Amino acid sequence: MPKRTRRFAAVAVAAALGLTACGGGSGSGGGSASGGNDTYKMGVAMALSGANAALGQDFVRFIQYGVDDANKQYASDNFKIEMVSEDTQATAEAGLNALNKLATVESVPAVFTAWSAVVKAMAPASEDLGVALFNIGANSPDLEGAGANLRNFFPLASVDVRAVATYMAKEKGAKKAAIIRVNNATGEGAAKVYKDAFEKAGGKVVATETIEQDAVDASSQVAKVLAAKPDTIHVQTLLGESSAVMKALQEQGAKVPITTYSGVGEAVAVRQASGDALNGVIYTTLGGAKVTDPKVKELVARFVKDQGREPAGISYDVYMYDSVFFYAEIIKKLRANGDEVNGKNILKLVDSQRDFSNLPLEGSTSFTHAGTVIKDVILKKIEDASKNPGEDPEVVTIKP
Amino acid sequence: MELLLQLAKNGVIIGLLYGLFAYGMSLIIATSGVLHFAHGLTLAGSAYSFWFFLQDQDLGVFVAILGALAVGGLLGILVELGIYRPLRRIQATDMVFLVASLSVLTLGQAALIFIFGTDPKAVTPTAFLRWSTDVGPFNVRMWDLLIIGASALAFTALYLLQRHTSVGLSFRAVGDNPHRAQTLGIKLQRTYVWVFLAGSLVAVLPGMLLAVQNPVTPSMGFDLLIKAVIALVVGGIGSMPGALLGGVLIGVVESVAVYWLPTEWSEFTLYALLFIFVIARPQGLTKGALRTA
Amino acid sequence: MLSAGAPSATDGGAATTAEVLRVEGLQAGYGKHVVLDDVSLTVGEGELVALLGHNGAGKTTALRAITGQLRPSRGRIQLDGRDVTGSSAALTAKLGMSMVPQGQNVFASMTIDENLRLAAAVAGGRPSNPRSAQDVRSFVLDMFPILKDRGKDKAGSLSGGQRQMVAISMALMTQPRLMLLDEPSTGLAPVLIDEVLAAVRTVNQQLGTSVLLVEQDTKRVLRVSDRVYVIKLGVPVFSGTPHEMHQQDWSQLF
Ligand SMILES: Nc1ncnc2c1ncn2[C@@H]1O[C@H](COP(=O)(O)OP(=O)(O)OP(=O)(O)O)[C@@H](O)[C@H]1O
Ligand SMILES: [Mg+2]
Repeated sequence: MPKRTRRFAAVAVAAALGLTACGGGSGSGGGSASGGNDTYKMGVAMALSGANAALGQDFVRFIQYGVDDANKQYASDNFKIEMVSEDTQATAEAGLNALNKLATVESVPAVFTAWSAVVKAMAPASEDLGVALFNIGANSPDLEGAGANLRNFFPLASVDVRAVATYMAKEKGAKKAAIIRVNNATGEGAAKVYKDAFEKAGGKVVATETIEQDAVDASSQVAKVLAAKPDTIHVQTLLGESSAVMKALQEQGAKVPITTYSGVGEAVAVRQASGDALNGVIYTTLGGAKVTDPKVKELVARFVKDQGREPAGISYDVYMYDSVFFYAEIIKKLRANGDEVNGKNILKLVDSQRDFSNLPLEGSTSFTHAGTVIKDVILKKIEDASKNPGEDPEVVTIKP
Repeated sequence: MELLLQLAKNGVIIGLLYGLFAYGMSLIIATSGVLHFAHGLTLAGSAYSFWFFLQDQDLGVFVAILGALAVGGLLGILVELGIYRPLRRIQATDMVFLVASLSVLTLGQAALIFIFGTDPKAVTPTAFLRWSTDVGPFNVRMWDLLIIGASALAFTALYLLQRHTSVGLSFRAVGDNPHRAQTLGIKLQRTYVWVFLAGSLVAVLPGMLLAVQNPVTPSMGFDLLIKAVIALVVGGIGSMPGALLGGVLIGVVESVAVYWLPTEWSEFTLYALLFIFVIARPQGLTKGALRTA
Repeated sequence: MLSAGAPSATDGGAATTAEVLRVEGLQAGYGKHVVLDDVSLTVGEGELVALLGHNGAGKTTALRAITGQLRPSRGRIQLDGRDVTGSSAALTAKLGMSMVPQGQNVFASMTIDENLRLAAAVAGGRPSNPRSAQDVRSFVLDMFPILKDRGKDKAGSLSGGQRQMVAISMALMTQPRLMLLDEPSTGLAPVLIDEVLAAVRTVNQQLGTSVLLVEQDTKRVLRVSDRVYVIKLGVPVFSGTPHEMHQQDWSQLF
C-alpha cells in the first residue's frame, strides 16, 4: 500500500512538473555559442536516491572524472563540457521528471542515463523534447528500437545471448535447446532473443520455463526442461533464484552443456550459494575494457583514493567514463562542420559515423543500424566456483 | 511418477519452511490479536545476522546461530514494546496496527539495504550441507533433513510449551479471554512480550535455513510473508496445526501444480488457492481459534 | 455434597475474627461519572459476606475497584492489614484476591484440566499458601467430580452451571485469601443456583476461604451468607446479618 501511494505521488509530481515544463520550454539546442571557448552541457540522469543510489552516485563520479579528463584533452579545440545531473531514483516516473527538467530548464542537447525502466520511459519523451538520449548503463534487450532518439551506447543483453545461442547451434551442433528464465520483462526479452538466434541457426527451442525472482526452489522448472531432452540449457535468471536453478540442475543430473551470462556466472553471491553446482557452467562476458587493464586500474585507484573504498559497479563505470569522450568527439565533429550542437544533429552524426575510436578505456565502439553497439563476446567456463571469476578460463571469443 | 514424487517431496520441504514462518505469526496473532507483518523483517534480519556472523565475520556456526536467535528475538520484542504497546495504550484499531506493522517491515527493509546494500549475500555451503543421498525414489539433501529436524523441534517444543508450562498456557489464556486472564493475575503486557519472543525465535529457523540454501536478499521477508499469509488463511488463522498444514499445502501446490501447468503460473496457483478458501472455506482447514474481540 | 439443601448461615453477630478485607469510604467510577460513593465494608477471616443491590447499583464496579481493575478515586482498601489501594490487578491477585467475573469466566478453548493447571501455576509456590497445590486439586475434584470425568474436554463444551464450577475451582487453585464472586448464578436454572451457592458455602466452610459474594437473588443468598451489605445507586443503604435483613422493607433497599 505505501508503495502504491508513493508511486501515485510521483506520477502526480511528474505530471505537474511536466505541464509547467511544457509551458515554458523552448527546446532549443544547448551551448553558449560565442567567442572562442564554448561550454556544452551534458545531461546526466541517474539514481541518486533510493535503493540504487549507491550505484548511481558512483556513475556520476566516473562521469565527472571523464568530464575533467576530456576537457583537458579537448582544450585545444576551444570547448568545454559541463555535467548537469538529475535524480531518477531508477524509476520511470522520477526519470521522466528528470528528463523534462534537463531538456527544458537546463536546455541540454543530450541526456545520458541508465536503468532499463528509466530508459524505456524516457525514449518516447526524448523524441518530443528534441534531445538525444544515450543509454550508458541498461542492458534490457527490448531497448533496441525503443525510440527514435535513443542510442544504446551500453551493450544490450541481446548481444551476448545472440552470440551464445548461435555458437551452441553452429559450433557445438546443438539441435534442441531449453531456456529457464526469470519471470519478468528482461527475462522474457532475452529468451526471445535466444530463441530467434538459435532457430535462425537451424536449431529448435524445445522448452522455455520461468521462475519467480528470488524463488528458493526450481525443481519443477528443471524437471520440465529435462523432460524435453534438450542438447543445451540456457539460464537467464537474476541473482536471488540462480543458485536454486543450478542446484536443481545438479540434483536432477543434467548432463548437457549449461550456459548463462556474466550477471550469474561472475556474481559472488551466486557462486558461493551454488557451490560445485556451478562447476562446468559456461557464461558470456563482453570484450572490451577489463578490470585488469592498466588504464582501468588507474581509474579505480583514483576513485579509491578519493572515496576510500572500491567502486560499486566497475563494469558499468567504464562506460560512464568513456561516454564523455564519445560526447566530446561528437561535439568536435559538429563544430568542425559548422553545425549547431543540438539533439537532431547529434543523432545524425552518430548514425552516419557509427564507429568511434577515441574511447580511452574501451578503445572503440561501433553502432549497428538499430542504434545498438556490437562487441566481442567471450565465453568462459567455471571450473571451480569457489575461485575468483578472474580465474575462470576462456573457452572462445566470438567476433561479431 | 518418480519425478512427481520428488517434486512432492520438495514441496513438503519448502512447505515446512513456510509453515515454520507462518507458525510464529500464528502464535503471535492467536495471543495478541496482532497480524504481525513485521515478522518478515524478523526473518530477513535473522538471515542477514546469520550470514554476517558466519560468512562475513567467520565466527563459526555456533556463534552465528546464537547471534541470529538474539537478533530475531530482539527484533520481535522491540516491535512489541516500541510500536504495538503504545498503540494498545491508545486503543488503536486493527487497521492502525496493520499499517504500523507494514511500515515497520518496509522501513526495516530499507534499513537492511542501507546496512548491507542491495546485492545478495550468500553462505558458502560446507561439505556437510552439500551432502545428499538417494532413498528410494527420493533424493534427500542435508537441507531437507535440517528442515525436517528444525520443524520437528519447533513444533514439539511449542506444543509442549503451550500445554505444560505456565507461560505457554498463559499465551492461550490471554488469546482466549484477556479479561479473565487479568483477573486471574496474569500480566497481559508481559505475556505479549513473551509471545513475541517465542514467535520471533521460531522465525529465525527458516531465516537461517534459507540463508544456507539461497542468497539472502532484502526482500526475502516480504516474499515469505505473502506465502505465510496464504498459509494462515488456508490453514485457519490463529490455529497452530493450521499454520503447518497450510504451509505444507501451499508448498506442495506450488511445486507440483506447475508440473502440469505452465511455470509462469506458479504464483497464480497460490492466489487461486487463496481465493478458493476465502470464498468456500474462510475458516480454513482447521477452524481458526482467533478470538473475535 | 451438592444437594439443594444448603447449610444455613448462623445468626451470630458481626465477625469477631481478624479482617481479611477492609474497605473504607470507597469512591469509584468511569471517567467523570461517579458510580460508587462512600462505600465501606469488611470481610472477616472465614466469613461469607454478600453484597446485594439492584441492577446497575455498582456491585461489579465495587469488585473491580477492590481488585485493582479500576483505580478508586477516593477511599482505602486493605487486604490482611496491608494497603492495596490503587494496586494493579496482577498485584492484588498475587497478594491473594481472586475474582471470578460475571459471564465469560473460563478459557473456553482450553481443556478443564488446563484451566485448572494454569490457575495453579499463576499463583504457584506462594509461600503463604497453607496447602499444597495437590491438596487443593484433590479437594476441588472431590467436590466437583465432573471436572475429573471431563478433564480432557474443552471448557467451552460445558453447561453454564459446570462452567461456574470450573471458574470457582480456578479461583480456588490460586489458594486465595479472599474469593470475590460476581453473580455466579447468572443464567442458571433455580436448582443449579442452589447447587452453586451450596458449593460456595462448602468451600467457605471446609477450606475456610473468605468470600465476598455479589448476587441478585436475595432470598437464596441470605440462606448462605454470614453478613450482608446492600448498596443502592452506589451508596450503602444496609449492613447487617441475614436475620436483620429479614426485618427490613426490601422495597426500600432495591
Ligand atoms: N465500563 C463502564 N463505563 C462506563 N460506565 C459503566 C461501565 N461499567 C458500568 N458502568 C455504569 O456504572 C453503573 C454501575 O454498573 P455496575 O456494573 O457496577 O452495576 P452492577 O451493580 O454490577 O449491575 P448488575 O447487577 O446489572 O451487574 C451503571 O450505571 C453502569 O452503566
Ligand atoms: Mg454486575
